[in-house]
Amino acid sequence: MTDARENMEELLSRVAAGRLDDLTPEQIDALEVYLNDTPAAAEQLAEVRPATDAALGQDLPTPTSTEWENVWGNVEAGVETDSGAGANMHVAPVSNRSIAKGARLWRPAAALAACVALMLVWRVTSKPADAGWEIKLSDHVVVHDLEIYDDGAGFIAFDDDGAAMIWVFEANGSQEGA
Amino acid sequence: MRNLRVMNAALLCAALMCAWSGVAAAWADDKNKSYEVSVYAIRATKSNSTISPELKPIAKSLKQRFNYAGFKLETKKNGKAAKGKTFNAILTSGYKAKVTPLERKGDRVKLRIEITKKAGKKEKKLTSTTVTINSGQFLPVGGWKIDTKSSDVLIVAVSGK
Repeated sequence: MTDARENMEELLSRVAAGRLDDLTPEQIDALEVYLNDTPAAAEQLAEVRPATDAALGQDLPTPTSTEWENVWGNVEAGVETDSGAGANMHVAPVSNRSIAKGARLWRPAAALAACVALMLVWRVTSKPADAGWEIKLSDHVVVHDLEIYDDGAGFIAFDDDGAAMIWVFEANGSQEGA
Repeated sequence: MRNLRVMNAALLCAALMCAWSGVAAAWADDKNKSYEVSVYAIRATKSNSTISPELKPIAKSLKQRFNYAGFKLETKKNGKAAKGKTFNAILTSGYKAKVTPLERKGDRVKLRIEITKKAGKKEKKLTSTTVTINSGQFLPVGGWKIDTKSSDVLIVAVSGK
């Protein structure tokens, strides 16, 4: 009985150490019966946590900046190219190709939009220089100086309402105007 | 792929050129838009009493001031000139008007007006005057014979704003 108990404790210690694979099916069946019959042992086993793998506890070295750049370079190359080396990476799934294609088309689309916007702005803001405005004589004229060349003569006539006109007589005196 | 990149680059260049030309045009336009100038060349005649539709608003004033019955609009020139820059308007029968905006104060504008006539390969200066008038309204200057066949004379109406 004592041997059997010691045997069970040996098996329990193996299970607690995470070495369940070392046990034979018969030993597992026997251990199961033992645990069912011995609640204290079952409770003790339930509290046991298997030791963590030593490899998981290690601080692994993080990638260097060069390695990151290489990785991103490969990713971008895979996105931009449909053939060649990038195609072998399979980084861009079929559903993402449309996104990549859209990303490639934004430049021409933006350029076209800019051209259209400029044309619209130009059309809206530009006014034909030949439009002119309605003719109306100025009713307030100040003449600062007046020179008549080639032996001609001139005078300034003011209306009662302040409007003025400048009339020139040529040297040959051909006009009979104002 | 290479073709696509070349096309992208070409389109970007075109967009930049358009943008630059638009900015340059807007800048130039803004600079030249300082003053608008309008010049009417009017033929005054006694041989008929026809008045051009464009001159109807001032027909009464023209008849009162000038001893002529008919007034025909020969040509109309509109343009823009910066302050101190001359706007040249080629009129009729070798006449030319040179209008230089000098100053704007409120609704008044000061203009330098020079009338010349082509004499062979040279330009003969006929008259020059500096006036201040209401912005957008016209000052008539006239009296020169248009041709030797008739007694019709040229009246040049000038405005700026």
